[in-house]
Amino acid sequence: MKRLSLQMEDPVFTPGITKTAKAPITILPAGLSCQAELFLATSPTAAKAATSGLKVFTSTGSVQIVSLPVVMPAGGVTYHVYLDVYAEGYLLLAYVATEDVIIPAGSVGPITWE
Amino acid sequence: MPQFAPSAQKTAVAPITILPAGLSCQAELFLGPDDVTKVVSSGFRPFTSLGSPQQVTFPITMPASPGTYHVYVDVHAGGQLILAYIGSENVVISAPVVEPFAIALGTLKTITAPGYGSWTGRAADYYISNPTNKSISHHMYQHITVLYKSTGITYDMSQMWNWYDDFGLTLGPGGSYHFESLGGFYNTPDHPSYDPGSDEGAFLMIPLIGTQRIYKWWLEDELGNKSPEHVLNT
Repeated sequence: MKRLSLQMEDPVFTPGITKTAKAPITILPAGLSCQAELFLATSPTAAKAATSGLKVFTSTGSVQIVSLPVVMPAGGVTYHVYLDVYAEGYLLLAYVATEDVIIPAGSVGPITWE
Repeated sequence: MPQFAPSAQKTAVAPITILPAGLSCQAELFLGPDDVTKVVSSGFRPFTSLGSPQQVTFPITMPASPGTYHVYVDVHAGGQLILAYIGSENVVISAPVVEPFAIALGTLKTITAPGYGSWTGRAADYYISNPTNKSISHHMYQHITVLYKSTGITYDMSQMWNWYDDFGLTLGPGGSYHFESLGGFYNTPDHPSYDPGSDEGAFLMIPLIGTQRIYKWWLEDELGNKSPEHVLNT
């Protein structure tokens, strides 16, 4: 399945904090048993650096906001954001966000005075 | 521990490493007693991360008040505080120590003036020198007190005299100055002790020397450093 682009802001987060992504998801028809997972990874095939796990919802046939909490992974890396939606156990939608999540890391060395 | 003068202009340099490269960052260095009380700050210094150490400079004006201050460095990216450091060494702001002049007593000359009959005054003089190897500036005041021995009352005549004998003095290393007080002042309207009841331009002796009294003259700088005293016991 080809991944589709998904609009998203370009956020910068710090490692270890929990952020909740809210994705408007529309699944037709109504009444399907669905699951959605948002995860961060450096590529579609790379290991998931962080994931919301599978969040269960029932399709309403119209747009519904699904909350996807994620604990931000280790810093110093730019992660792509992927969103997979399953219906009745089948992968129905696979998105990659247009913007990445940046988790900076760094250090400050000794200060000298001039 | 770095030690600076109050309000000194200094620049701190810190190697900062931020990953990933290409990130728009801002860093701020500030001094304070804690991480929420910024006594002085460099303001936000923008830079783009290289993914490797880069030198970030923080020009900053030191606090005006002497004391010991913690040094904090905060780094922000994307509106998020991503690094919050406290320096392992504090900054000490210390007021420069101004050494006092060395002052030796000269003579206490007896003076007379027209209209005073047999009354006399005294003019004290002092040898002032700079014993250090750097320039020193002070504002000097001559103090005069008189103790009436019969009543035990002491008058500070320097107050009555409106600091007539005050002067600013700067001496270079090893420099010296011979200060000779007049023992009074010329009564002119522009003088702080002007007496409209006395003849304009007349020399008014202060103090007049009476009996059963102890007079003292000394110099004192604005910091309260005192010279030895001329003492006259009558």
